[in-house]
Amino acid sequence: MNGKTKMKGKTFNYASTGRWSVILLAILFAVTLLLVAASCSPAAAPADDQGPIHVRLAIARDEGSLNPYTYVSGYPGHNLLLLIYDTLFQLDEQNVPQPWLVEKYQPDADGLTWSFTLHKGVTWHDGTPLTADDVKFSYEYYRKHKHARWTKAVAAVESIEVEDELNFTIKLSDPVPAFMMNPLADVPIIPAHIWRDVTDPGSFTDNTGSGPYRLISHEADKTYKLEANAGYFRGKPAVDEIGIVIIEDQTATFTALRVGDIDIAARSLLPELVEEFSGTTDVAVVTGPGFVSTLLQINNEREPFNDPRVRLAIARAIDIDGLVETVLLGYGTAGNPGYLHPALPGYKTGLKHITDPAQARALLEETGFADSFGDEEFELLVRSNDPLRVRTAEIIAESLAAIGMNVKVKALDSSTVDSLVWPDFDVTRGRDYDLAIWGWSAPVMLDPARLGALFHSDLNTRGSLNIGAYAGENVDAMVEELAGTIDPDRQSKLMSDLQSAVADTVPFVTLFYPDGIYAYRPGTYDGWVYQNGQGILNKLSFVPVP
Amino acid sequence: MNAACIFQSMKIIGAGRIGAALLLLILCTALFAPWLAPHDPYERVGPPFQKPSAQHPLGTNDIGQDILSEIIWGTRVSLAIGFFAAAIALLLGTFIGIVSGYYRRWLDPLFMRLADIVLVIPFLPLMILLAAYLGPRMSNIILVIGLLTWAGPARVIRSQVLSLREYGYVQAARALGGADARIMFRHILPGVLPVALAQFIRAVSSAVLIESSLAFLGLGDPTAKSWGMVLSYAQARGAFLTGAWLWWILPPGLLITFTVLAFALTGYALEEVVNPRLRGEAIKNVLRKGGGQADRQARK
Repeated sequence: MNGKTKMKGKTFNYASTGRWSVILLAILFAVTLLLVAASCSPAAAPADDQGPIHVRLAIARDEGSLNPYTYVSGYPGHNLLLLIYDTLFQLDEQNVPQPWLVEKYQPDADGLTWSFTLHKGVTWHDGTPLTADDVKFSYEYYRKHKHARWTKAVAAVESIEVEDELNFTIKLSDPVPAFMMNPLADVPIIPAHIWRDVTDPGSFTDNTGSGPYRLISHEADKTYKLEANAGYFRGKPAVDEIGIVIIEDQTATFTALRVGDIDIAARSLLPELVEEFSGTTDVAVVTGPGFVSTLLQINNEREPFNDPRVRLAIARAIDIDGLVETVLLGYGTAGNPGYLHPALPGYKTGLKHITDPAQARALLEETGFADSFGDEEFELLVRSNDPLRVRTAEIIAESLAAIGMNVKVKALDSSTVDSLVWPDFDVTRGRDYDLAIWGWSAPVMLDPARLGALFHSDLNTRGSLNIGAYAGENVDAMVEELAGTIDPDRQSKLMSDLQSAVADTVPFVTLFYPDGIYAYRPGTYDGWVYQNGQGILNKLSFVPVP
Repeated sequence: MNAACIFQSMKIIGAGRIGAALLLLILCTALFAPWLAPHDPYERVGPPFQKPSAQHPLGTNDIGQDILSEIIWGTRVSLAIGFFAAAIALLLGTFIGIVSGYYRRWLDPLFMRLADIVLVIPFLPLMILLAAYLGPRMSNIILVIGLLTWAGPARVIRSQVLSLREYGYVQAARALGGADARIMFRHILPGVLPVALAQFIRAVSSAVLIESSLAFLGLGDPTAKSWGMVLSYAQARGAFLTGAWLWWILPPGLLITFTVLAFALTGYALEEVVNPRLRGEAIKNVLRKGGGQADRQARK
């Protein structure tokens, strides 16, 4: 009897712990929800003190040791890198290259030989003077040691001749249309006396530069500390110290900004939070054009999308102004059918997207595909981890259903979408999709050479970004001519023609360019400068352009 | 001691009634979603990020869909995922439980060590890994949950089989040379069904919770409107940073809580009724009238 009781008691206890733990968990879940929500109410006031300015910046992930071979992301990694290192030219607010490390420059008539004079009195962080030898060394180093960004940028540089400490000449093998922008305003100069014997730059962590800031500490995945370079040749930077913290989570980042744990977030603010944030006095919000594009990519090889009329019908069916209003809450610019952002100098004015479902249906009738559409189902691929893009896809599927195209949104993880649309990031490997929500980063928009890569039909050579295998009449010739043209008038004429051609034949539908929206605490520092398409995290925010 | 036991059982069955009532309410919501929801959850019926109003009692979401309608339809999706995942877990669990309880020499150690492994592996990380690997599709989510939750039910069912196989009628069937498959299917399976049903209901509750967790972490199917997905979008679109958490996060959160609670209470009460090892001596006699077929056959 005794033994039985004991055994029974045991069984009961065991069962009852399991029994109530789930209920307990459920209650805990509810309580946690409440607590999380409650802890998000605004609080705190800024500390106001006159003294050295210390800005705390939040970025989303670690950027290695922040030298030209170890930084990770194009944004904000490249931006932070250029606080530590300098380039020969510097893009201003409107992305026009201005001389920076160089004082004078002179291209010859055919644009193949450029002579430069460096600024006097520029020194590295360790006190050694920066000379023309460092420039020659840097460009040659990037050519010899492969890097995804720099090596390609310096490919056209044939030789560099150093005349004396400050004067040097660059000879090009082919004319480069935007030479001052890329490589001159893009490629950082590294100190020859430190890098001379480095053969494996991927594991070299030194970051002695000549820029306005010095990296004084880095704790992997946690923090960086940048200190102002008091002897900077363009004057002492406005902010004395930049403390960088890594906060991966978006909500946590903006909560930290609101309560004053950080002063600025590198991450763009969500459109729905603008009202909330600009309503407070502690936090200011600045917005400006962004050059990241969001597209409806079309597989031009696959039936029925190989017919330009079908592609045009798709474009006509989509209300992109409505998309900007709904998905971006108006914080964005509607897509130019010729791809280029309207805020860029090369934009062809007057090109406008037309929404006309009736014409779309008529076009489909004309092609004769309309009848078979009822049975066919097309897939629209989208990255599942990007809620804005998923929403965009859902709305587009709705619009296409209205003209009789049966489109199913298929949300996949981003690497799977990449592997179907752009396998191995090599367009010659083919493609396996109907439609996809896609996007290109800002550099693809800024550089005319890369622009051509989107449209040239020879995938092996010039069309390295033509992921839809598009082929347009005369487009190849325009792209080829553009690549060799340095005359600005001819260049802009070609750019206009190219945009018109693209708008007529629709290799993809340019949907919109989300604005950059940045929130910061003006009480700490208010000198931020918005560089179009790049945001406020740039050299101009700390050192004025001459 | 007996009195205490009866009291305990009554309490649990009372809680079970509450659970069952809640469950009925939730099932009705799922069933009658088209009539209950004021709008089509996929239709953009207003401007995005609207605050609650008479027209939209819980406001609108990030693209102007009615949140209340989303949540009502979400009941269907969440429960469907829960049911299908639990069905996979239980089919697997019942099969493995019966087979390993019956073939004690060879298959039992193999299956039970396998079950141990599944039970011991840290659950959520593995789930996240699998869900990320297979991709965010509803069918994949169901499969992942089903394949990782069969071990618990399998163990419970096996232990039931261990006692059933020693019953006279099973022994008799074996002595008469009945085929193993027939014995397992005709004589043992009916005996474990009540236990399996209780396990099933518990499995649904955990599947609903797991699905919500995965969806919230961004591993669910973003085009299927489950409760977890509503939460996921709310989080991604800054609801925690604005006042919107009150109508966008709390309602689906509470619904998940109540659903898990309802299933758990019902499941435990049912388990109390059908699992002889948990049953008090006195109440056993009362309940035996409506008890399992196995008991009746055993008494013959």
